[in-house]
Amino acid sequence: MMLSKYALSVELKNEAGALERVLGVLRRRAINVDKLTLSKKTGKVYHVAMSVTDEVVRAGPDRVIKELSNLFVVVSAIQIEDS
Amino acid sequence: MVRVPTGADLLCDLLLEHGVEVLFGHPGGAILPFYDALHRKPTLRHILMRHEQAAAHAADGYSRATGKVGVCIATSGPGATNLVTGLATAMMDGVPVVAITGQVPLSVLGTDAFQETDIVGVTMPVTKHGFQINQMSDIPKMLSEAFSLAIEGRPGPVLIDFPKNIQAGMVSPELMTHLSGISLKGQEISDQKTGSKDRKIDSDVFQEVIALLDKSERPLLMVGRGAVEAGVTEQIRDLAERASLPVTATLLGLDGFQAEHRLSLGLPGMHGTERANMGIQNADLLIGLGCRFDDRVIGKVDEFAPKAKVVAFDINPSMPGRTIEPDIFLLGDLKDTLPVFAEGVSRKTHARWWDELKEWSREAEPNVDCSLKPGALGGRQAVRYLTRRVSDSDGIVCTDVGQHQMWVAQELPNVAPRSHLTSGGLGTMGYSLPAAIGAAVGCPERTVWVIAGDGGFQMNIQELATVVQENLGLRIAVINNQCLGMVRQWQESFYDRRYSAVALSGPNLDTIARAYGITGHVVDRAENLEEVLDFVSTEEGPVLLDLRISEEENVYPIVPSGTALHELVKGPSLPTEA
Repeated sequence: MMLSKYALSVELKNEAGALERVLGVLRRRAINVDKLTLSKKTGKVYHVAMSVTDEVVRAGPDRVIKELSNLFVVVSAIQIEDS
Repeated sequence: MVRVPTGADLLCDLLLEHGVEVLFGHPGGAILPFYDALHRKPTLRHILMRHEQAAAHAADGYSRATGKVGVCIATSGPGATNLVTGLATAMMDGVPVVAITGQVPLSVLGTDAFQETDIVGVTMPVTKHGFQINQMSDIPKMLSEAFSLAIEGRPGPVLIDFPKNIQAGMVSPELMTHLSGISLKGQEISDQKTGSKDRKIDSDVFQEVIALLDKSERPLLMVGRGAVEAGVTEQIRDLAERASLPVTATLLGLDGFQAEHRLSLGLPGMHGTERANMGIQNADLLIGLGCRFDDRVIGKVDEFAPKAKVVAFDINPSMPGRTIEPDIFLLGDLKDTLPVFAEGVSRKTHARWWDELKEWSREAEPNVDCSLKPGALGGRQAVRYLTRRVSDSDGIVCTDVGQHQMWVAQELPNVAPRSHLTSGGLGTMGYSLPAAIGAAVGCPERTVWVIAGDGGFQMNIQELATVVQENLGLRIAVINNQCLGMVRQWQESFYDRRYSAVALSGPNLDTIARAYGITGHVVDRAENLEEVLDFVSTEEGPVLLDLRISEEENVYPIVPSGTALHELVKGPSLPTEA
């Protein structure tokens, strides 16, 4: 059974449009963002924590992390415990 | 007096420094300073396309044929949005392309200025990345990153959006001094992904694959475009010969393994041969070399290669699990991974497996008569003789999308790597003619053939003007059935013959060709084909053949959508539903 709700932690380069690219990976798989926190980690890296609902395509966290990791702007992507 | 260089001059210099020799583009308002700089750079060749979509396809075709990065140029707004289909085509097939677009000046960005489009936003899903130059010093850094990114990992398109005021702005003496002190080409890109550069080759996994192959009784290799891109096709042939491994080459891997080689099973998948598809379904070990196991190749996913352990060699870390989950995944460039695997493979004959395989037909349609006795011209028949000419001329063939594309894939004899160019992933009608322009510009010593359908050909027919202006000796064959043949075939087979919006009337393609200054010929009788092909083969300039065939000829075999590879339908006695 594929998880339909999960949480992700993503580190991304600090540049205009970086978050949009992350959200694009989710949107094209009909994944909705329920909660999102963005904070600056260093001058060059942002940290994003988000909870998502993935019940249309049911891509699953592993697939989403693989696709996110392929983005030029993503430094790292992992699944975390939903808070 | 020394002229102070502009941002556009700087970009031109940097393009040359990155080894760029040719650009495919179309000018317009927001890219004018760049075109002005180009005027001062005669060493940077520019091919004026008639549509920006064609510019992107030409850059793609140039890259696929030469192995270099293709570069296309467009203005802002409509020029930039016209690139989208070409970028998506390159993205799907992993083709390194750098697209440079003009943008409105930064002072009016975001105001719906004339010809303003957020092209970085528009192209996000169809590029590996998009850069927008925001200051002069971004130019060297972003160009360097764009070229590195286009070829790094799985190749693909990268966009650089270049606002007009920076193109026209003067490069400061400080920046010039800084640039003269560094070598841009070998510049380290700012890669913060730790470890992405030094993937370790785990020898245990290779030993496991070698052991699997050693005890396998029914192994099979599947070769994709990744093998062509990595330049390992000879090593694959040696490996296959040593262990007598049956080989199936995907649509984009057709030029990665010689079709007439005794070990070749032909095309796999939806229009694949019985031997390739039944081979996959009966194999106990399937090794993919640079192929992504897309849905047109694997058929019904749950029943794909049911008896096989699947091993995938691929450069894309997100490939496993998109369609199938390989039992073993070997991440990396085939240039690095294949030799480690190949050196452990021992000599085998696999005689029993080959006896089994030969029970299944290697021919696409064994019962179709392709002899040229007097009668109406057939589509498969025309393609068979055309593709022989491609092979005989050691040529490059660019195909469009649809029935003719599948006939070419089924009939193509031996061709060299980088000689079969087609839009496999996106299935872009209109690809063939502009891609052939790119190939012909990149490989002027080769004969370049276009084989298109009458539907797709009309989607970029305006590029005949580019062919003439650049004096490219393309051999263009339009397989003309006066309809959208593949759509019609699906409506016949799966929609109870309800033909909806598939009939195409005209135009007279030989007349169109003549209007552009190209010799045009019509062939509608089989007995006349060879004579015209003899003429075409010796003609210097561009030539167009309008090959008129019946609208009723279909492509077989077919694995109907949603069925497994072993459920392929070999010939016209189709069930009416899928």
